[in-house]
Amino acid sequence: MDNNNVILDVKNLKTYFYMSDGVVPAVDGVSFSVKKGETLGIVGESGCGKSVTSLSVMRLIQTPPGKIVEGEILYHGENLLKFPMRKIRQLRGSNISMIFQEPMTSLNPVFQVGDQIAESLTLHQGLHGWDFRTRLRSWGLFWEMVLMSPLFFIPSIRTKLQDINNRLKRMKIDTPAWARAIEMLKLVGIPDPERRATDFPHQMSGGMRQRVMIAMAMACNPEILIADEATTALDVTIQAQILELMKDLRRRFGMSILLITHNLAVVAEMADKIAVMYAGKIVEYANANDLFAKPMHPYSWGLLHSIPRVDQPKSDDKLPTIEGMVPSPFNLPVGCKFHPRCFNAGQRCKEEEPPLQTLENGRQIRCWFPISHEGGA
Amino acid sequence: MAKDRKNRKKVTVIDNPNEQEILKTAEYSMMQAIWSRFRRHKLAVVGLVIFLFMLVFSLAAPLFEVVTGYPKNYTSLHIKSLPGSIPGIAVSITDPDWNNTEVYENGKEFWFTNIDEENGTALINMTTFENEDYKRKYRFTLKSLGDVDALDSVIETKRDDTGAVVRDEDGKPIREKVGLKEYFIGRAQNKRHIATGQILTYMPPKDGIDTTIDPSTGNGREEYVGPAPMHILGTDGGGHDVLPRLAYGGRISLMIAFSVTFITGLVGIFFGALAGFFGGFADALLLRVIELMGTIPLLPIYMVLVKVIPGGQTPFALILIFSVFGWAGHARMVRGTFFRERSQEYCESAKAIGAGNMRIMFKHLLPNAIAPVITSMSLGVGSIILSESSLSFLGLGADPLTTPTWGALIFEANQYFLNMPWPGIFAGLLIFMTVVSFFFMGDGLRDALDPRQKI
Amino acid sequence: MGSFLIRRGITFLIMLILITGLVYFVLRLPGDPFTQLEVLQPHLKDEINRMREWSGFNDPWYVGYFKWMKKVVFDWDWGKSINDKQPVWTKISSKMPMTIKIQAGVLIIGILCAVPLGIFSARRQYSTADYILTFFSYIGVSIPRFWFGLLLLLFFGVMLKILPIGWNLWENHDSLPWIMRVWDQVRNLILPVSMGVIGTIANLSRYMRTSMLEEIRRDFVRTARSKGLSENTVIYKHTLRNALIPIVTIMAFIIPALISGSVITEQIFNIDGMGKMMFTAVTSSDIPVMMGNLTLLAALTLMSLVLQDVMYALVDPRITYS
Repeated sequence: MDNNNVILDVKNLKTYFYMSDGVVPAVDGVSFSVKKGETLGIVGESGCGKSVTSLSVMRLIQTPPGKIVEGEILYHGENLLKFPMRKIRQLRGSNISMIFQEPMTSLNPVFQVGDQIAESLTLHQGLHGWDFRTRLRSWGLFWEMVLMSPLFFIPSIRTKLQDINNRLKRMKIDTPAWARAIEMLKLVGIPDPERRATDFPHQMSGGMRQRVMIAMAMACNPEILIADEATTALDVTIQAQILELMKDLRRRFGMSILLITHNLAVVAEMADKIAVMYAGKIVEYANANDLFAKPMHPYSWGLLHSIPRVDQPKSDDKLPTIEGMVPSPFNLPVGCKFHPRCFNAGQRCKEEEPPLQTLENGRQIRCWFPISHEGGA
Repeated sequence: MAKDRKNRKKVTVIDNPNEQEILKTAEYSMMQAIWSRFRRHKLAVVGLVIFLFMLVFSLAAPLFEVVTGYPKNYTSLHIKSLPGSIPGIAVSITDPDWNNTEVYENGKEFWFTNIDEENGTALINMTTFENEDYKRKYRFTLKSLGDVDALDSVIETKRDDTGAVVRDEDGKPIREKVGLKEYFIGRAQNKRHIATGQILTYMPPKDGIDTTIDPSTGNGREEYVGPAPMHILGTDGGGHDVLPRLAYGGRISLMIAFSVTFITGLVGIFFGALAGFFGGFADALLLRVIELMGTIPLLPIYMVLVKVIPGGQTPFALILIFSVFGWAGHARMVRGTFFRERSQEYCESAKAIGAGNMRIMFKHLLPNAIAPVITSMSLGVGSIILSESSLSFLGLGADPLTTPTWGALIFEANQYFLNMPWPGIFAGLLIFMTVVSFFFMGDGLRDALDPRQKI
Repeated sequence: MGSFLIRRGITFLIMLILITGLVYFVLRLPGDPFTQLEVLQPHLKDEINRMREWSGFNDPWYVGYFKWMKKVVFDWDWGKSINDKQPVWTKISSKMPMTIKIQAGVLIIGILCAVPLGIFSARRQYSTADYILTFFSYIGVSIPRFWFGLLLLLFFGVMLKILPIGWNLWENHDSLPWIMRVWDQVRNLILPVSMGVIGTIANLSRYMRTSMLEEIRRDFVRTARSKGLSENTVIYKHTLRNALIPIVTIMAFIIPALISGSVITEQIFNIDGMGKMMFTAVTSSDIPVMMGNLTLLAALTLMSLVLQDVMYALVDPRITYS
């Protein structure tokens, strides 16, 4: 493995939540690495800790109740967990960006979207936005216009008034940060971005808002983009458009993507590598092609086979499902966390937790009895 | 296996780490769950304890009468002296005839029996207490608040002999300083039927002036005593022992508050349910009414209504008045819940299986609205007690003679509060504790009934 | 927005007419106050009749109401007090400054203290400071205000003797230099204002805290953090702006509540303001004064409702009126 290319290397990350009812090990010893330009998909059911993993990388875990108790998050070889918050804030938004799952609520309702994009540009790239000085200037111009307006019948004054009016209208849009923000909006495919930039989030549709979110995350050309269920809340067609957009941006800027989703189709479309998580742990970590062709962990197998396939003849058989529910984080089963739901579980699974074994091709798996694909099953 | 499944079903995990709330319902019943959550809320438990104490205290009122030996309206005769003067009562004089003049002192009646024009004072009999034989005489004089000797004159509008106001060139009434004597005599001569309220003060009975003599000791009878073994919480202006009066006051205050809360709760649920469920015009109308009711300054309205409604100063009328204006908050809660829940799937599915509107409203929707309503009712009890005592404090609540509510006790105490504060302090403390206990319990109930909604 | 305001203005007038009509009707409910007087003072029959005629008790209530309204609208004549025969409007306008002085003090100090306290408390949720503040806000909400006022009076006025009891300017107030005049006023205002402000602070800071906590959990706050903004920017720019939206609603409730408060404040501190006038009018059944006061209250209430809508539209871009 070429370590120079590795941008993000997470080692044995443990994030626990200390609730009044007990400790929840939301992320319990997760390791993975992301190379430049690579897309890693993290897949799992609700509550398996995938969102917490991504928030841990951003150091956005609320303390209390949450706390990163162990592990390393190496960004270009430097441990993010050792960074002071000031340095973390410098990285956030400029080097590592995040897209959240709820486009409806993730934008601040009282600010124009242009402002929200321009904000991080001002912060990280020092571009002037709609700041106090610009506002003061616009006020000055405004009053100049008001004072001059009684003399509107003089032609030269009238042209001047019109000129000021035009300048006032464009003043906000023309600030460097806004200009760049509008550029970003154009990049993510929002029509008429100059007008749209002055819209408030509630004036936009869900897909539009998600595009704004992406524009916001992409504004400073981050090296890593964390997409936490970025397309889950969207219609399928919009979802496809957003994925296409992300792929396109990845190609153009060569950034790495950490794709967090429960939607296997999305991962199949995007990811180079896939980590399957269950109950706070990675149970299988493999190249996308390998995993889809030969899922070795019973859980991965279950996930893949519980998707109805259009290309296969309809049968009267029931769709295979994974029995049972995600275990309560307060009393996880002893041994392999998956064994109560596993069709392949043996006695050993109930007693001893399997370690993460590394197979050929860098493939990792946490199972005593992995599904063998030798026989071509 | 069956047990296992049962366990699993009751456990849900929410994925969102920012709302890491684990909704855990263990094996016990709902009431137990509520109680255990309530118990975990320390302030709520404190509130419950205070409330229970108040309840027992008020219910034990007759006991205090027996123990202290002083019935609530019995006046003690053996009382120590009171220093200084007592400020502050509004008096309006309704009859120009000075002999036998009727005076209203915040609703109480005085009878002037004797006018000393030389000193500008009058002796009055107070017939405020139920036992008619008890008539006290007060030296009636005009004083400012605070400094007793400073004010021996008042500013009055100047009037000519016919009683008409004298005006200057601008048409403004001329105001002049009038000596005490002139003031009283002028009043008498002016034959004004309804005089303005003026701040007058009355002196406590002092040697030589007070004529009521305690037959057993021969001492002048004076009414105030601080906390002492004989009177655990002291006595008040009427010479009553404070303790049993406080207990009786608690009964009435709590009774009024509970009745009002009960009525407003029912009315609020009814209107809120109708508006929230059917929406449309009824909803818009109700919202306007709620908005208006939430905004109007209630105290002036209560004041006017109490005065205007015949028999307004009885507990029953007070309950009525408070209920008319108190349901809006509860209605808003219920409306909100109904409005939110009526479009939920379970409601739709109930409709789909043919449940009637009434059934959906009261079987499916009401249980959702109960938790917020109970919380808001618990908070409501507190605010009703506050409103009631404010009104009573102004002398406009339940008649302090027949029904000594806590507020009315402070109203009585207020007349001599600066010198003899304890009856007022104890009554206020009780009001405060009770209200705080309801606010504590309300908070506890909100957390206990609806664990998702956290503050 | 313009047409919205016009519409609200029309509703405002209609509501005002309805409410004042209702108030007049209610005030006339106890019947003719002069009947009783007639019995007591038979020899003053002529004068009583004159007064009855003068105060409109010869007409049925609706006629009386319309006469009253006509006079108010066309002559700005609000009637005269039965007690001292002064014009009601003169009374009101002479007493309003005092009440406004006190209640404006309460409102301004209340907001200035409550908003920072609420933010502080919300930012340190579940800390000791938060618990202490919450506890004090409980006390502030549930302490009977009149009792608190009396205690203040007792403590600072009687026991410590450092603040005046009631409204008590120095005798040479008018001849003092301005700074001393201001100090004299402030000296007298301290107790009444602090009596009113305790409840306002307690209520508002609780609302502020709740509102802040609600907003602080929102997704957009996380988004703001993920942009790398500093914690102060996140709180004071992104969260506060949203948290203030519900507070605007509360404002509409607070202003009339202050009026309620002024009755008690002025009664306790013996201040000659609107509240005291209202109280005197109620206890002596002075219908013209009550009518004037209640009309003013109704207008104020309705106005604060309109104001609330306007403020809402100003602070929340999601709300537009068309």
